[in-house]
Amino acid sequence: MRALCWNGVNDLRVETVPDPGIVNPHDVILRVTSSTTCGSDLHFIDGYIPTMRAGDVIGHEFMGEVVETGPEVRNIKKGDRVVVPSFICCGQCWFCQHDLWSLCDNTNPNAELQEPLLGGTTAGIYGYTHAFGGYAGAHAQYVRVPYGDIDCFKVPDGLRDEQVLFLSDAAPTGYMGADFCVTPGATVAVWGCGGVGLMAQRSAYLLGAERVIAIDRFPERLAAAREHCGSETIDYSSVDSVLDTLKEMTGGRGPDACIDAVGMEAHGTSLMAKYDVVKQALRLQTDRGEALREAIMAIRKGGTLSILGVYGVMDKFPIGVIMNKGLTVKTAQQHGQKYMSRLLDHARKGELDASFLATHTFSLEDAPRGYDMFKNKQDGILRAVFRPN
Amino acid sequence: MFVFRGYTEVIHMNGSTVNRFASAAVGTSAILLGLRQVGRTRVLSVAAGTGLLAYGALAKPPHRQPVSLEPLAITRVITVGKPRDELFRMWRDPQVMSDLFGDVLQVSREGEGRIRLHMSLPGRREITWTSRLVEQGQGSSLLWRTDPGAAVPHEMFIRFRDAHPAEWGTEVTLGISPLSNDRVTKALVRLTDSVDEAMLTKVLRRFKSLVETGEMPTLSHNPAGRHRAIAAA
Repeated sequence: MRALCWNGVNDLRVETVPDPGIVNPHDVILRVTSSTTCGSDLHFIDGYIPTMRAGDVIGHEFMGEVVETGPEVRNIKKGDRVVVPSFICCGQCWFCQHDLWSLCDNTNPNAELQEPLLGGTTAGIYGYTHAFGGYAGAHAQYVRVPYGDIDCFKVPDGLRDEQVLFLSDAAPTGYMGADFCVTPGATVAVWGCGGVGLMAQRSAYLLGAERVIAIDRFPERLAAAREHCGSETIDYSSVDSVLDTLKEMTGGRGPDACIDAVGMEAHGTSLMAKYDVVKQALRLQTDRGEALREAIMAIRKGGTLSILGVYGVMDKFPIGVIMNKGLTVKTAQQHGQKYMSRLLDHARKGELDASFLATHTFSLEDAPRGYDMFKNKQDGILRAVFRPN
Repeated sequence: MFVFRGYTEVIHMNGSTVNRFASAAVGTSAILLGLRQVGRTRVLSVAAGTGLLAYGALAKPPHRQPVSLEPLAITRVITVGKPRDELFRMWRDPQVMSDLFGDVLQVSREGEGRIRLHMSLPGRREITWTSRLVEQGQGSSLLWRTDPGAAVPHEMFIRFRDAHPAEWGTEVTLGISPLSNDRVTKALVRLTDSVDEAMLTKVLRRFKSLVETGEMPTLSHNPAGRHRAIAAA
């Protein structure tokens, strides 16, 4: 089959690789109908997350049609159209049983690579480094899905691929971020208007927020936040201070809740942001944490901070501010299996239509160009969608 | 999963059989003689005799070889969401052991209570040894010891303990311990401990996945661009 492979820093190529097959009894093989780029892919494409190997098939946000099932698969059958959360979960361990799906204990075959770095392990992910499992990704014609009964969700009739595809990762991540911190009537500030940030904004309203303020610098993304999510917006590159602007907008209190949907490659205008750029370029740290620090400073006393951005081992993390302001911090990789039924229901009712993220569509053969445009934010791209078949 | 290196030292009163009998005899004589004395001599003789008699009676006999050397043991522990008895039964099955050790070690039954282990080493070298099940606490522990002639005499043990709260299942500790503490062995342990720890971790994780889900996570037949390059080479 054809698949998009990572061959080194900023070196993506479409190659012919072996087809996947049923290996374990709960496996399912999907013919991928749609897959999409994710901002978190850029971190390992840029070389900031270790344990990639040349030839790895990438891509973790996808949907497709079931073409083969293992002997122990009961609820999913050949021909089903399904969407799959990006984290692979067994459904049986203590963590899955307690709705902490991305912490699944049984799906990372390379746990020994991750444990020394994290002091624990996450679930495996498709196409996202060997420390996170080493599984082949979904920018391919076919993909093997372990634990098909647990991780494949049937798509209700009447929904197009574009309406469902982002329920694989961007939507549940954003929804979880809002679920962590939104209380009825709250004012919520969201850093980042990429796929996850936009989904967090829309989800915040669905969960009862009265007001959502989005922070970014790209006009087309800020426009999407206004038009598709109903957010107020701040272009951080055109104001003197995001903190002062937020104070002004909230009567001097600050937002009740803040969501960081940016992660380790944040841009900023402060001296600290410049310092981060230099230090990261010299490989003296893994993260540029400007957005996260700003969120911690902006949030009102006693508020809740929700971290969705991907980080390594960050320095200059203002824990003293968190302590003195009495903040609550909640964070996780996405627990997609917890939210999927709810999200499909929102999509079916038209309450959450993520199809506006699919601004650009490419064939699989053209995927390297799609990633290049996505990385450089060309032509107003929000997400590049691939059609592998 | 937690890492635990068994560095606990236990101080025993060790003594040879001859020493213990001699001490007991001299001690008894000292007490009897002391009782015939008066004053300070009587007190000192009885006290010294009591000490020697106590040493003779209470000192532990010397260890029989081979003996596991806990200070050099490498152990890993994991919590498995199943009852202790079920896990204990599974670990007695050589086929399960072979599946768990995967490509590192092949395990087969070699008669009652004995297993044969086969390991492939880099450079197409191979070693084989047999181990005997020498201890089993019902539902709580198993210990295999290599038979004489093994290239690296050692013990492998697994212990099961109920987790608290009970919903977590069972805490399982897997360890290996050499049967010698000479300099060469110590150096070998230091050289290989990170490899051994990684192997024990992997085995325990595979065991947990197998009993909790019925399968072990695997990357076999995992599509990648490098397969073609490897085949061409």
